[in-house]
Amino acid sequence: MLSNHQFSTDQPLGPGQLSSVWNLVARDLKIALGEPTFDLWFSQSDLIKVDENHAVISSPGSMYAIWVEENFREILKLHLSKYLLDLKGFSLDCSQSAEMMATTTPIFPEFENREFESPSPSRKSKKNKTQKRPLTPEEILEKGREECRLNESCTFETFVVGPNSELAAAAAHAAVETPGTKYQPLFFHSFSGMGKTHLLHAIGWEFLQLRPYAKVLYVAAEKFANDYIDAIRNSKEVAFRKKYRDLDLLLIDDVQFLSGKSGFQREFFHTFNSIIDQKNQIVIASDCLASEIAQLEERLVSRMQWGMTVKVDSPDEVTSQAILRKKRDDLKIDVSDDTIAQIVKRVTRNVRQLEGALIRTAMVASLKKAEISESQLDDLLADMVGDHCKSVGLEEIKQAVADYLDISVREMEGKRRTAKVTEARQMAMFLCRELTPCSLKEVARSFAKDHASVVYAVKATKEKFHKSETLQNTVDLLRRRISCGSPSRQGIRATENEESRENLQSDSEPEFDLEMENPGSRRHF
Amino acid sequence: MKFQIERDVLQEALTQVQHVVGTKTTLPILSNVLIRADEHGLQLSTTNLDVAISVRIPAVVKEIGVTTLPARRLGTIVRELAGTEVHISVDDSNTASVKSGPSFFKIMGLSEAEFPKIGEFEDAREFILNQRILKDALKKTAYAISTDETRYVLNGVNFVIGDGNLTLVATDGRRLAMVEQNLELPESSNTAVIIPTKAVMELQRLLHDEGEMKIQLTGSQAAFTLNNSFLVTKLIEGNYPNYRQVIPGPAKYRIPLEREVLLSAVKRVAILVNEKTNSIKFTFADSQLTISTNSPEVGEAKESLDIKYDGPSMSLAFNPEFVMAPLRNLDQDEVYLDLIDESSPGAIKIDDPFLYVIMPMRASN
Repeated sequence: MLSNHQFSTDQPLGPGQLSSVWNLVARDLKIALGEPTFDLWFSQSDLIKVDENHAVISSPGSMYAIWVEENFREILKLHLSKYLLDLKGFSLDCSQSAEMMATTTPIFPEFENREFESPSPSRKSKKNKTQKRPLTPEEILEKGREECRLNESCTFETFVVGPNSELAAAAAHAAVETPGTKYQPLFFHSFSGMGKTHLLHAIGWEFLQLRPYAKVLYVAAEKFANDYIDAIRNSKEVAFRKKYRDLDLLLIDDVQFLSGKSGFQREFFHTFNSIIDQKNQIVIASDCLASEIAQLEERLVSRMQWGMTVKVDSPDEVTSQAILRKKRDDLKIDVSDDTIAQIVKRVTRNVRQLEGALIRTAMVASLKKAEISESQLDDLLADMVGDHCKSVGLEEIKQAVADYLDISVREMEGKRRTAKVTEARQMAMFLCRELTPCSLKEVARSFAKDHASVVYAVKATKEKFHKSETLQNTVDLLRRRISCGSPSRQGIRATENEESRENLQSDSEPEFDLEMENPGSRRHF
Repeated sequence: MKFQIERDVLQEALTQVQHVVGTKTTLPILSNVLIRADEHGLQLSTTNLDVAISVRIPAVVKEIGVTTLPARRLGTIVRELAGTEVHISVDDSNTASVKSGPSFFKIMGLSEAEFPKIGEFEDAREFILNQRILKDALKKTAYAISTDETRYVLNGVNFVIGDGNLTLVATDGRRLAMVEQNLELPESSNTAVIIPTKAVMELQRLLHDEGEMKIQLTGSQAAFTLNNSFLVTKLIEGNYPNYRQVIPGPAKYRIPLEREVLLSAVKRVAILVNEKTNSIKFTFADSQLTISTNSPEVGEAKESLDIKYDGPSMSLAFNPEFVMAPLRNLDQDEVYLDLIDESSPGAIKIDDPFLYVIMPMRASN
């Protein structure tokens, strides 16, 4: 016996029956799904046919039908079969509905009136690569300054190439032209103020000129470390990695800062690998060779030595003058070529100091409204002239050499004449003569020897130079350490924002296994 | 036919064409790769009658000719070879001798006459497209393709050119992914076709990040010419349903979320998802999103994220896989979750014209 609201489904139902069934089903569905859901999916539907145990429901569109079937099949069937006995199945029919294809409302209203090329700036480079619209020079300039942190005054145009930096400049150009292949990584090292940073920026600018959509970033190692700390603190490691590992060109300055910081080294190691894996370019600058950076993981050292290592030497007199003339023209200051020649004669070949001296001279000249005479120049630049000679004492040199060769200063001053001690002593004497204004006698006294020994030591060391490049490198390294004033075991110079204090306390064993008897077997830098 | 080729080059080309070759084919010729040696080098082609791929590679051809060889067998041999050069010569009875270093193989092929002809595209409509655009758009949509064969029109990506835009849409009735790219194409190029799943997958493999590609469309077929490859596919016949019907109206609440953070949170919670209900609950309240799952048989998992949300407390259940799929395939750092209310479909958006519609699941009753 059928109840009032139940219908058999093997016979076609009349229109009245259909609508009463649908009303009941709709009421139930509203309760089961909630009114909003029902309105969204069923408000425009109707039961249009029931025959042969099959129900047909109208749907306002084919996509509606698919989504209703996917998402509401079970519940719809459940409620239909409450009123339609022996219902085997149902289908949705959208043939009667006009497929409203042309909806006027845009799907992406937010993108309607928007220049397609410029979504968010971070996405810019990637998106635009596909669009291939060449960037205007202003846009490149802005991108370089803002996104890549490049200094606009440091370009190849403003870089004076002399014999000292020929190789470095050539390598820099090559790295821009064929990134990620030839010189991977490109490693610049030199004393402070020789133009490494300038070269890094110049590479960045040139790279951007050729590939305006490339992702380029100039970063000092310290900034890298700080970014990493921030990333960890704010749990944005993902963003950090994305920022550094997806670069087309990474320019990293002052890597010696990573010395002794194993956490940063690990992160840098992965960054390094990831960039290399993607065949993108890394350019590194440091004030000493990778192998001389104290407490740098071996795997990083070997990776940094992998590609091309180039030294930027101090400029010779001619180049120095050229640099200063260029600087003078750039700054539009009034200093004569003669004065520049005089400055170059007086100031050591550190470009930063040279420039400082130039600016100082120009300043004084403009105050006095007269050319500076030679004697005035002497006074003016007194504190810059050969400044690092003054700051170095005999004791410091002895200490540095002794530490480096792992003997004691007392041994050096003593009478022992084993090969190791003798060589150390000679090397120290040589450096004393070279780096200090002390006379032969003064040097000899401090070693408890006579002046002839010092003369001989200097001569002997010079002779050995010709035979052994390793010795030259060792002496170079020591000279650098001593004149940079950092403790001997730290191959690093104090950087400007000097956070590397912690390194200075480190008192690890020297990492160099040196056999003085046989300089040839020494570790080659 | 006789040629000499670098092992790695041959291996790569074979891998590219091999995916089309089914393991169980009704016609033996379909498990073979067509090798054509001419003055330009080699052309390798495979087909499963729906999709055909052909790749051109350089080789030193000593004697031109055509043959077909068992694709997988040849692929395995080449992969295992020790030498760097492979010498292959094929006689008139389609028997190939493969020599490389110390190894020698003889494999039996079939005549190229049996190999199905790949369609003609002479009066097809042509577009030039940047590969990266298509690669990116396919990546963002392909995962939403339906696998339900009864609704065959959904077994592919809807490829629409209209109003100067290229729009790609894929849906399975529970979620929908679409990407729109402005290409400034002329009115005359307006079209809408459905590219089947298999072709989409192969295309994704062949597409590079750079370079252009040519697309040719006829009524029933599409051809893609890119790099050194050529892919032809049958199109799915029929009309793609009007996807605009299920795109929710303007959002009431837009919640910015960090993509990778959200993805990993959902991934963790999904470990304890109940296989029967297969849903996890998203609760939005007081600047916090709690993702949780709880079932008596399995256990309980909960993750909280700080979010920007000041609307009323709201709970929606989603299939975790449906939430994770777009997150995995987007590359933006930030995504937006657009919601209207607890019962309306939600949407995932980014700063580019991309839309992902996802149906909330009803709490089981």
